[in-house]
Order: sequence, then structure tokens, then C-alpha cells
Amino acid sequence: MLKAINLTKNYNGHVALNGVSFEVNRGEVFCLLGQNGAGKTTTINIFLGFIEASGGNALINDVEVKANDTETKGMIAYIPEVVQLYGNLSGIENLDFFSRLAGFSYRQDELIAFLSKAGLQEEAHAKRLSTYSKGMRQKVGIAIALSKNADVIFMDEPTSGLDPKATAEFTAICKQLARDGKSIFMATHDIFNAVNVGTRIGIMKSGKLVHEMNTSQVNANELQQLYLETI
Amino acid sequence: MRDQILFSKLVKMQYWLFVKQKTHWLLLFVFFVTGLYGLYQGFAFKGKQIATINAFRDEKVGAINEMVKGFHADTTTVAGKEAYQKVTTLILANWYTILPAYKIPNTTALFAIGQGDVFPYYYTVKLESFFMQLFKQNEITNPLRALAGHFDVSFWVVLLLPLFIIVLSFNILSSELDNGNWRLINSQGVSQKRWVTSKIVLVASVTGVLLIVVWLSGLVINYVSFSQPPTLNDFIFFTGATIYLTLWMSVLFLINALSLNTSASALYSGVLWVLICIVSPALTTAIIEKTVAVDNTVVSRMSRRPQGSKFEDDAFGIKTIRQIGVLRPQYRHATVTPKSKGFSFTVYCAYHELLDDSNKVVVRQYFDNIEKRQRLTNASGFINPAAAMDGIFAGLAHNDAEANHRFIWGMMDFHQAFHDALFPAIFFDRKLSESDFKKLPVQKQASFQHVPVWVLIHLMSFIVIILLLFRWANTKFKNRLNV
Amino acid sequence: MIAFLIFGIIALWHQEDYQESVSAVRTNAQEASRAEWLAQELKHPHMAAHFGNYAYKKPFVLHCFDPGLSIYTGTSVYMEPHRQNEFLFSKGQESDTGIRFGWLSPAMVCQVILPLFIILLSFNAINGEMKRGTLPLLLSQVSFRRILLAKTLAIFLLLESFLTVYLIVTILAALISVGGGFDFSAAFYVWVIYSMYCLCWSMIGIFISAKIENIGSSISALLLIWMFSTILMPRISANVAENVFGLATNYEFKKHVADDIEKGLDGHDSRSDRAQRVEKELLAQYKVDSVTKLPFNFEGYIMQQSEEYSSKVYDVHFNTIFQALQKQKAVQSWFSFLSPYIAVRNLSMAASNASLESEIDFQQQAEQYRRGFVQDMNNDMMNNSAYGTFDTYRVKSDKYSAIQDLQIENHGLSWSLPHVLIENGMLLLWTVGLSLALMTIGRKPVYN
Repeated sequence: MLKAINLTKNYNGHVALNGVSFEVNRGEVFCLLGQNGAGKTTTINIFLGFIEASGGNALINDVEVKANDTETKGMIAYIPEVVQLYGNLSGIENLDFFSRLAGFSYRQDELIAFLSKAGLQEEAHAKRLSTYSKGMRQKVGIAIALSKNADVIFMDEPTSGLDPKATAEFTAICKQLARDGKSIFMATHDIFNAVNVGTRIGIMKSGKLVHEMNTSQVNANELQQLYLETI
Repeated sequence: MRDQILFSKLVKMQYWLFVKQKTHWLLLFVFFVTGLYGLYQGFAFKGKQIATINAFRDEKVGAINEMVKGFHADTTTVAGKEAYQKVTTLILANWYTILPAYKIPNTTALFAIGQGDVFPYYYTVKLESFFMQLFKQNEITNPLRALAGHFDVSFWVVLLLPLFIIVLSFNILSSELDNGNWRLINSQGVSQKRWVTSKIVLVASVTGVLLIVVWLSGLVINYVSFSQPPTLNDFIFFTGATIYLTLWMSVLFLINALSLNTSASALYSGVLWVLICIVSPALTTAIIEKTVAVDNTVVSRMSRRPQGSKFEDDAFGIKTIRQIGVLRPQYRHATVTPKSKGFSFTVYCAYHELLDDSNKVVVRQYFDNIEKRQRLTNASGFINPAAAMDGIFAGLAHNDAEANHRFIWGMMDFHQAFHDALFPAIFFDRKLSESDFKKLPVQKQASFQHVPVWVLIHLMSFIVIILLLFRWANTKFKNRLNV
Repeated sequence: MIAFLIFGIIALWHQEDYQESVSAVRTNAQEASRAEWLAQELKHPHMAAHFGNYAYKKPFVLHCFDPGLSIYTGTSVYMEPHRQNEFLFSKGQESDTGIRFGWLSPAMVCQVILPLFIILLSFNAINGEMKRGTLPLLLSQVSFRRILLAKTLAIFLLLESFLTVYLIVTILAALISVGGGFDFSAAFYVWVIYSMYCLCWSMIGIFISAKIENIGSSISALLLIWMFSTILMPRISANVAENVFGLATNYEFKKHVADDIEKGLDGHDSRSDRAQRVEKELLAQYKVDSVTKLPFNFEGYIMQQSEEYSSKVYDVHFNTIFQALQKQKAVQSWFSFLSPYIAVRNLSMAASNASLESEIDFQQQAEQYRRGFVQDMNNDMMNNSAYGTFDTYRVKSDKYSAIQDLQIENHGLSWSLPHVLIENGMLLLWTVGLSLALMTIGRKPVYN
């Protein structure tokens, strides 16, 4: 589904990514850990087509991602770290707008279904987004990802700033998505959540993927130990 | 997997996003009202001019008609005799024959007042020296308004609508980049260029609708209030306004293409507005004032009335009559002699005619320089688009120096025709008859549709700038990735 | 910054150059028209009066700083009997349409561009500190009010030093190149009002920057305030004033004057009635039975009488126009409540002797002179010529040189200030109001 082969990225002589390779299959949740500047966001940016890799290949469903090219855009969905959306629109209007941007036009009941599936309580659907909490905004972001019916979902620090309840809900939704056959690629700082939600975990340092393991192999404490030793 | 969303659909969604924002409605309302106020200013100004012209013309034509009745007056009564003498005696007839000349504002004058408030648009024309009369007559100009400028549709188009465009589009991209929506939008398959283009197209459409509504209202007002159907000038005015606003759209397109943050975009567009709308016009005007010198003192003294004892002098008189015979061959065999009753008056008339003829060169030079200033302003589109477009609008509205001077030269021909009607009696020493008065000319109005070719050339140069700016913006978009 | 300075210098240079050429043209025209006047053949005094004469406004040093309305009204006026002349040859007739975008002068730089420069310096003064995170650090050292004060003063003093130097250079250059009347108190007053204006804009900039957290919004808001104050309001106020207190057209004006001269100001005292009454009074006074037996030329007397009556009529109608203009100006003055620009513009014009009042005064002085001059010529006819010699009497040659050109003096501050009390009040109100606003938000450093 998602494949990185020897990805390299240089910024004016600074090496941001150095030969990163990994693979994420259907139904897998891949959590990428690492400090700021380790290369997590650069990896996501390459897959999203925001930037171009200096070397190596990024493949989605065996199609190579090219910067500024829309060919692979339809196969992926993205949930940014801060889901801002439009404060003067309601949750359902935001969803409608963004799904239309991707070329879908859903009926009202379908939109409601997406929001509900993302865990947003029904009474909030018609309220303006400026009244939403961060967790609620993120649910709209998830609904947008759902509505796109993409094979791969990228998430950037999805749990930062969420309260424990919202994090728990989010984890549940991720697991459900994985069960539905999606591939999820998540960049995060949250070790405990990574163990919780991920099927596989990678640790990055200075542009290199240093460790890669299945979550069945480790528990949270071991992972934390490994993480601290790595960086 | 779906195909990329259609561009028209994207614009439609931008529209949907646009109307959802209440401040946009407020903005639209404010700019629409200011547009209507501009129209009202043009309407009030033009209406006052037309009302003044009508009253003026009716009074002067009525007076002439009344005077001509004197030929059939009952000369046995005192009043009748007076009336008869008034129209038959040379000097009296000259004194009382006052013809009206006027310039009816054309259709486009509703949109652009231009210099219309400083140029007189109605003159009385007598037999005396044309330039003396010309430079004595003036409209009362309001210095306060000259200082502040008109609030007409031209101002609305040239200074205010760009502001509207800037407010709506200076941060098309930067606001999405700033609030973090951009990555989401882009992951939905919309590129920077498509996003910016769709919004620019939307803003252009909204601005276009504003312009069309105000313009059409203007055409309706012209037709209903002044019975003036639309003219070519109106269409060129509209085309010019569209091109000018497209120029601003291309500027904003470029500012978005530069991918600055919101405050830098605001700064750039704000400063650009000030440069184009304040600094550049002021500098250009200063340079033009400096390079093209205009000295009114050379013509202002023409308003002094040439008169005095020399007209009583027989030798001077004979010499003058001979000179006029050279200038105007039809009076070469003038029969008036120092013994004729109205000799000194004939000399007076001849002298004035000669004076006008010799002054014509100086006046033409003076006018030419003024027109040159206007032409330079109009041609300065590359560095001074706002003032250039404003000047072009004033030209289309026939409210600029060139139109005023066209009116004046036309009026000079009219003055000449007036001479041709009454001079034979004066130079061939006979009484004025009714048939002389029947020959009095009626002033011809210039066409409302006069459009100089250079207007089209200037508009083309604007299109060139627009294309260059779009090209530049395009390369900016192409050379940059989407982060 | 450099562009701003260059622009300021160009403006200064242009204005000095312009005033210099105006001055040269004025001197030339004055000499030429004087020569023409003196070279007239000896004619009947009334006819000579009809040849007309000019009045000129004297140069004033501050015109190089702020030419005000003189740009549009010109500095000379032509006068002849029976009619007052409006401002002839207004600059507007010989300029292109570009002049409506503003006249480049040091005053324009200080009124329009200087605030813009202040905005560029101040839009992120406070919220920028917030964004960089240095504001809380500063707040742990000093109070928010002191930060606002310090930021305001820093910007103000920078621009104030520019302003002071700029004004001094302008005046010195004007004294050297153009010359003319110089009034130190007026110059000092100009410095004071522009300093206040500068302070106002510094406070507006800091206020908005402290009030609006988002930098993009604060710069947009400031630019909109600037455009509203310096571009929109002046135009709107002038146009509204014109709509409310419109001026008569020249046609209406002349018609009213002619009607009133013909039928009398009250409408029941026609010209012939007035002449008959004067004749009867004179015959009774000098106890003679015919006007030819009067000790002076009756024609000269009646000419002067009708001149005086027409002057009275003109006064009435000119006053209507002047009053309309003054009402228009008052409307604009009150608009300075919404725009400090209008206040400082009017104050600066008043101090520079280029305001509406000084233009009206120019007209009125010219009119007084015209009357004296025409009366002089008519008296010559009345006292020195016999009845019925209109066609033959000639003025003595020394009469021409005895008539002097009029040079209209410039007024001092004590004359101009009472006309701009509203503007003075408004500028003060702006300064005080903004200080209070800054003090109020200075209580707590929280964006809302």
C-alpha cells in the first residue's frame, strides 16, 4: 500500500532524510516516533507531494508520488496537526466543502453519517466550528478523511493537545479504520498512544529510520527505554 | 479514486465560501453604496450643467427673437421706435446681439466629472474679440472641491474598487497557510495555483458584477433623466474600467504567487496601492508641471478690452480696414469710409478681428501645452496606471482639456459665422435687415462619441502589463512547491 | 526609509521650484501688465478703467511648505468697472486630471505619507513582541502602560526629528530661493500641529498593535484607517458639503446681479427710478434747474452712483457664495472628528495663508482696491470734464502712473487662527482621546 524505498532529502546541504525505507500494508497502523527535526514531517511531506525527494522512491499503491502532482492525491487522506477549518462554517458545512474539494458531493445524510462515524455527537453537526473544542475539530478532520474514501491516511501529531478522553476516542477510531482495511501512517511524540494504536512502530533519528518493530514485540516501558537510548 | 475537481466547480465552492462570511456582505454593501454615491455625484453635476445650459440658452435665444421682432415694430410709438432702432442701428445691434454657445455633457460625463468643474461649459458670444470674451468668462469653481477631488464613478473605479479587490484577495493563500488549512486543502488535490486562481476569478466576478450594476444604472439614468441613449464612449469606459481592474487582479495574483505571510501581503498590497494611487500620480504631475510649462499670463491679458481714441483716428481706421481686406477677402472692397456714420465702430470690429487672428497662435500654443500635459498623464500607464486611467476616463467623458479646447475652437468658428452674418452690413455701410439676422448661425454640438485613437493604444498597453504580470506570477507558481 | 526620504526631498524641491517659477511669472506679468497700463493712449478715464488692472498676492515663505488652495485659485485677479471678477485662470484649467490625485508638496509628505510611514513602523510593535514571546518577559520588568508609552515615544521621536529637520530645511530653502514674507510664530505653529498629528498617528499605530493580536489583521486595520482618514473622508466631506450647500453657477450669479441692478435690491427700485431720484436730489441741493448747471459733471456723478449701487448688489451675491463656501468648509471642519488629516490640512493651510479665508480675503481686498481705482477714474471724469464730453474728454497722463498695482499682504496667525477653532479643538480632541485610549488599554496586557 505505502512504500518508501531509500528516501533521501537534502535541504541546502543539510540532510533531512537519509535512506529511509519502510512499508505499510493494508490494515496496518504505522507510528513514526522521533524528536523534532528527526525527519518525520519531511517523510509525510514527501508522501503528500508537498516536497520532492532528493533520492529514492515514495510509492502509494505502487504509484510513485511526484511533487505537485495530483495523481496520488486521490488515494491519500491527511489529518494535519492543527485542524483549523473554517470557523464561520458548521461542522457539516466544513465536511461538505472539503469533500467537494476532493471531488465528492455527498447527500446530507451521508455527511451526517461520516461525522457520526468520526465520533462527533449529532447536536454539534450544525454548530459553527469556532465553538468546537480541539478534539471536536479533529473529528471533523477524520470525517473529511473518511469521506475521501482513501486507502492511506496520514496523521501529523494527531493526539497533541487532546485530553485523555479525546485521545481514547481517537485511538478507538483509528483501530476501527485499520479494521476497515485502511493503512494509517502517523507521526507522533506520544509513545504510549503509539503502542496502543499502532501495529508497527518506527523510531527516527537525524533522518534515519533507526528501529522498526511490531507492537506485539514491545510494551510501552520497553519502547520508552529504547526511544531514550536511541536519541 | 476521483478525477480532479472541475475548475468551474472550484469557483462555485469559493463563491459558497464567500457568501457564508457576513463581513463580505458588509463589504459588498459598503462598496455598492459608495458606487451609487459616485453615480449620484455625477448625476447631480451633470443635471446642474444641463439645467443651467437650458436656462441659459432659452434666455439668450428668447432675447434675440424678441429683438428681431423690432423690425416689425410699430415705430409710431416710443417703445416701438426704440425696438426698431435697437435692431437696426449697428452699435446697438452689436451690443444686444448675444448668441449662446454651450457644451452639453455627453453620456460618459455621468461617470467621470474630470476637469468638468473648472472649464466653463457655456459662453455668450458677441461680435467683439473672441479671445477677450473667452478669457473673461469663467465658471465659479469651488476650490475646496478642487482640493478634495470628486467622488464620482471614476474615483470609485480608480481608487476604491482596487481597495475592494485588495481587501478580498491579498491573503487568498497566506491566510490558509497561516491557519494551517492549506495542507489539508492541498491533500484534497487542489494546487496553490488553482486555489488562488479560483478565488481571483471569484473576486473578479464579484467586482465585475458591482461594476456592471453601477454602469448599467448609469446608462438607465442617462436614458431616463437626460434622454441620452448609450454611446460608444460608455462602452469604452466600461472596457477601460474592466481592463484597469483586471490589472489590479493580476497584481493581486502576483502578490499571492509570491507566497508571503499575511502581514507581508497586506503590507505589499497596501504600499502598492499608495504608490499607484498617491505617490506615482503626484510625482508624475510634478514632473509634467516641470517639463511642460504653461504660462497663463500670456493669454490672460487678452481679456483687456482694446478700445480708446485710436478708433476715432481716420488714418488708423483706413489702415485697419485695408488690413481686414487682406485677412478676409470678402471685405476687400469695403465701402465704409471715414465719412460713414458707423466708421469708428467698423474700425473697432475690424481691429478686434485682426487681434483675434494674431492672438490665435499664442492661444493655440497655450492650449497645446495644456493638452500635452493631459496626454502625458494618459500615456503614463506603465508607471502611473491610476492617474492615466482617470485621465482616459475624463477624456471619454469629454471633461478634459482636449474636449474643452475642441469646444472652444468650434465656438471660434461659430463666432466667425456670426461675423459672416453681420459684417457685410458693417463693412458695406448699410442698415441691418431681417435677412442678416436670419443668417445668424446656430452653434453645432460636438459629437458625444468622439474617441481619440490613442485611447485604444493606451488600453492595449494596459493589457500588455496585465499579461506580463500574469506571466510572472505563473513562473512563480511553477518554480515553487506546495509547502 | 530611504525611499521615504527621497520622496520628501523631491516634494520639497518641486514645491520650491514651483513657487520660484510662480514668483517669476508673477513678477514678469506684473511688469508687463503695468507697462501696458502706462502705455495706454490718453483716453476717457472710464474707458481707461475698463482696460482693467491686476491685483497680486504677495509671496509667503510657508507657501513653499503648503501651497494649500492657491494651487487651485491662483495668485492674481483681474479687475475692471461694473463687475467683480471671480478667481480667473485657476490652476485647474491648465493642469491635467492628475492634479486631482494630490499636489506634491512638503505638506503632502507630512500629511499623507508620514502617517503611512508611522504605520509601517508601528503595526507589529506590540503584537510582534507577543508573537516572538518577548512581551511576557518585558512585562515582568515594567508595566504594560510603560511599554506602550515607550513604544509610542520611540516612534514619535524618530518621526519628530525628521519633521523638525524637514520643516527647517524647507523654510531655509524657501528663504534663500523664493523669499517673501516670513512669520516665525506661524512656522512654529505649523511645527506644533504637525508634531501633534505625528503623535496621533504613533498612538493609533500602537493602539491597534496592542488591541489586535493578529499581525496581518493589525496591518490591514491600520492601512484601512489610513485610507479612510486621508483618502475617503476628505473627498466624502467635500462632496457632501457641496451637495448640502451648493454654489450658484456663474449664470445664476450674473442673472441675479443683473436683475437686482435693474430692478433694485428689494425689487421695487428700478435703475431709472434711482437715477431720477438722484437727479432730483442734486438739483434741489444745488438749487439749479438743469444737470448741466451743476458744478461737476453729472455723468461722472451718476456713473459713480451706479457703480456704488452695483457694488452693493455684487457684495450681496458674492457674500452668498462666500457664505456657501464657508458653510462647506465648516462641514469639512466637523468631519475632522472622523479624520485627523482634515484637521491638520486645514490648520496647515490657515497658518500658510492659503486657506479658504485668506483666499476670500484676497478677493475682498482686491474688490476694495477695484472700487477705489474705479472711483478714482470716475471722480476724475466728474471733477475735470464737462457734461456731454464723454467722447472728447481725455485723462491726464500722470493719472495712469498715479494708480498703483495692488499687492495683497499676508496675514499673521492672530488673523487666521479664529477661523480654524474647530480644527484646533478636533486635533486636541484626537490627541487627548488617543492618550486616554492608550492609558485604558494599558491597564491589562490581554488581547481580546
